[in-house]
Amino acid sequence: MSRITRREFLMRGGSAIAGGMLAIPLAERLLSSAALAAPAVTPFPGPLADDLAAVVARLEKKFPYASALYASQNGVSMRRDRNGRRVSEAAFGSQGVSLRVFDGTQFHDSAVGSTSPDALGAAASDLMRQVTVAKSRYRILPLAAQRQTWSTHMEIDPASESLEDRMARVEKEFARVNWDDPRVKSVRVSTDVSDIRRVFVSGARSLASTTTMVSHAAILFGFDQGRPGFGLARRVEQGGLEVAQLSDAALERMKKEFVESFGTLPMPAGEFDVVFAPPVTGLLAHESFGHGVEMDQFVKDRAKAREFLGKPVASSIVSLVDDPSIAGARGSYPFDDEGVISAPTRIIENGVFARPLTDLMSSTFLGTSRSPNGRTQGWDRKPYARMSNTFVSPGATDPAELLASLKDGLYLEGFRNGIEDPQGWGIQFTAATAREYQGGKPTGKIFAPVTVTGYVPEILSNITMVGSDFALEPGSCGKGFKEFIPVTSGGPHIRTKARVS
Amino acid sequence: MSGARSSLSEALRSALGKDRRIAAWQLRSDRSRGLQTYLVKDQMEADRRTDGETHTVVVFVKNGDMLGRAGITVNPGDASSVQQKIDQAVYMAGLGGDAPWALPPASAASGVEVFDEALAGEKARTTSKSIVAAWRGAVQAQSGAHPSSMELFCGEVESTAANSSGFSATTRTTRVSMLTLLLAEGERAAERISWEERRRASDLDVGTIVARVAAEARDLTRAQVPPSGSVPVVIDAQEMTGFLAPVQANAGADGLYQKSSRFEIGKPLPIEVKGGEGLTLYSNAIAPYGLQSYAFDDDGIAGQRVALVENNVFMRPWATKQFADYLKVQPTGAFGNWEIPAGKTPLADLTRSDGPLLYVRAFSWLTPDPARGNFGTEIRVGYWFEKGEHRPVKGGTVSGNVFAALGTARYSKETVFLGDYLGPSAVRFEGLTVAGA
Repeated sequence: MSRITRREFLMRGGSAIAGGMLAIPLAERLLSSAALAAPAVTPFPGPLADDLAAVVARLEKKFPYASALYASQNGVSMRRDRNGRRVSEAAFGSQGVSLRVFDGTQFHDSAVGSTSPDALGAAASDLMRQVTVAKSRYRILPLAAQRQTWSTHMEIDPASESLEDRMARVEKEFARVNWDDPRVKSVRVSTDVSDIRRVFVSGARSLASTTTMVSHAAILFGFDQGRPGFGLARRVEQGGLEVAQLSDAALERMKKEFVESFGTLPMPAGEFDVVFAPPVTGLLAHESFGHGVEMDQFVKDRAKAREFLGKPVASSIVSLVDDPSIAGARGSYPFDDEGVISAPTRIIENGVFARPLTDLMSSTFLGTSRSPNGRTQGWDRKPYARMSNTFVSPGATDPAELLASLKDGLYLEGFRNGIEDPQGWGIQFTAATAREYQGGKPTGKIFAPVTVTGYVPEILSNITMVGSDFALEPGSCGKGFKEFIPVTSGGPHIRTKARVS
Repeated sequence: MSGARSSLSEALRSALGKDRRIAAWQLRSDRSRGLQTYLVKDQMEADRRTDGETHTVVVFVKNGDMLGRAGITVNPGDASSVQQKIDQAVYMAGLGGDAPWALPPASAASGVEVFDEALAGEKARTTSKSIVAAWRGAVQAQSGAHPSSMELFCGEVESTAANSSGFSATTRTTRVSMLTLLLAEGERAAERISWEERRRASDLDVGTIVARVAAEARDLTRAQVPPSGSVPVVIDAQEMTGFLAPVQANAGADGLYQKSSRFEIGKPLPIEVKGGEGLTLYSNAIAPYGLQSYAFDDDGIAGQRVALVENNVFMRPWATKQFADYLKVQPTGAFGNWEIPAGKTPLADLTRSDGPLLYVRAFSWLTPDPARGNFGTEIRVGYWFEKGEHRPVKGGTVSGNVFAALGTARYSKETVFLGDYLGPSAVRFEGLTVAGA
């Protein structure tokens, strides 16, 4: 999973807030201005769905397939650290429409960063003028008629509170996190609330959704005798402001991680019996098999998995699922960016590769049914076959039994990053730490960072125990070097063998 | 796209200038156009045209002795709600506050070349077609390797920036990005992927890129996991920006201000020198056609070439205007392109060794810990040198610490330009840990 590009990773690390504690917010005075009445709530999708339908109907007169996708993202970001605080629009705000037609052999898109009927009309005219219909080699089956609108279920609607009240929540959280320890040099709490909106129109299908995503994080950073260390706690979920609070247990884990980070050891290389915590299980699921079963890779002759459809690829106690319909998960959506309603796809069933993940291109060119996995980074990018929430299904064994079974091995926790190799079926991912276990108990030695490499079928076939627990870890997934989308990955604790360094 | 300001940009500038609640403001307007081409094998899968316009407004309001700051994005559909958008920004800015700092006054933007006519307007379509044709030709010329897919992005952006201190400038930039994915059959099937970006079409050497990707794909069909051990490792220029990321992170003024940096201005980096050449690193924002070159950064600071590290000594941080003011140092603007001077050793000599040596052309995903510098990453394409011969390797990992490794670094005499990197074509480090067979 390419979580983020290196350059973005580097540049984002520099964001900061400066200053001291604030005087009474000027916002109260500014708000008293008559001009600052609460903004009118515009119904969604409102006339936009009709505007898109009109454009699509025009395109459908010429082309065997046409669709329109509206995609937008905007929100508010809040930061608090020891120097000050900041409230601003969340990064990457954008909106636009992508019009798409199929000429019988290939797709053509015209995308505009606007929703005005004039701009949409011009984009449609461009397609009508530039694209000719070819003799059809492929057929796209129309989606069944459906008109529906979705929004995120939440307990505390962000729109029901003023931003001052939301900032007060952040201040309260900062007070909990701001640990008075001489090793702590920097403390930050952040809360981002974003609305991600989609409208999809094609044929008789018109779908709209507003997804509210809350990202809440706390970070401790410091030095102990010149050695840097940090601790992180976060929640990234769909929902309301109820997400913007860390549990006491999560804060204690973050402090423990901060303290332990000063004493971690370099990982000695070797093959070990390992137990993966759920975030590491998720990395395995995502990197090992997830990317390799994105069916656009089949069209490109890039996926070794294609040779194994209907064949065993993992231990018979392993099942792997991609499910964008999980309520509240970061990788969820009610319909994909090509209009397919969300539902789980069972990729591996009891060790056998059962079903790939499709986008419209791959299902059209390979003549298969569609799964809800056509996803795009935004209005100005192409949809591809992508994962959503990808996980190993829970088993029946108490996770404590897995750890107790480690006579001489490692317990891997936390995720950092990973990368796919769908053709070579190799795997690389990096976990935050590995705890040494002997006789079923931790020795106190912690190694970091920890890189797992290997051959996918070998690691999956070596899984001997699957825990009964379950958790999903939020992340961002790239396709190759770009196209970042929100996902989760996870599952239960599992036990396997792995090459670690 | 013309150089004329859009009506929305003018409306924003006018409204910001009149608003007495606002202590200072910045406005950046971007108009972008792009062409995207997607090939499966060597056949067209899809094409896309994109056309966008966004305006980013940042307002500053006084909040006691602090300075509140908030940014908003305004889209073409917001023309009728400009005042409401500004009100929203003022409200948000009033909820926060940093220590005060000043926007830069009117000054000349750098005249760096970052625009290629061949990638702009209607010429972009012709250029795109010629690159695709060149790619098809280059792929067909390869034996033992065949195409899986190709993606080509050609784009242009016209940006106008202004602030309340009188700064106003316009810049036009272009970018071409090409993904090449080739497959090869042999002892085992293999693939090789590359993602190359440049500002100028003529800097995208399609034939050389395809030839290199094909050669690596062929080599990978017979690649094996390398042996384990502590050996010299030569790392290709393609991986150097990732490898040196901790140096960049610690060399930023924001990190110094937040006390999250290990560096001290005027003092040596935390490197124990063990026979290596000293590191010299520039942030170069005025390299012609550099991907990270700019006429002005988001604050309006003109692009510059700045020595951050000279012979292992941290000379000065790269500093945006805000953190330069806090640290009372000269602002350099945002980090530019990586520039490292040529080393003393010919590349051929870097790969000479009495014992075994690993040359890594590409890692799977190299992301060292930015604070500590620890790293461990898989070898995606490498070559194992031993007894005067070399063979391709894949799999296994290289691990170590960036700062420790820099103490042994030897830089190649040959240099390359990779879009955002100008420097040695490879760097040799002693005693990194290879975990393989």
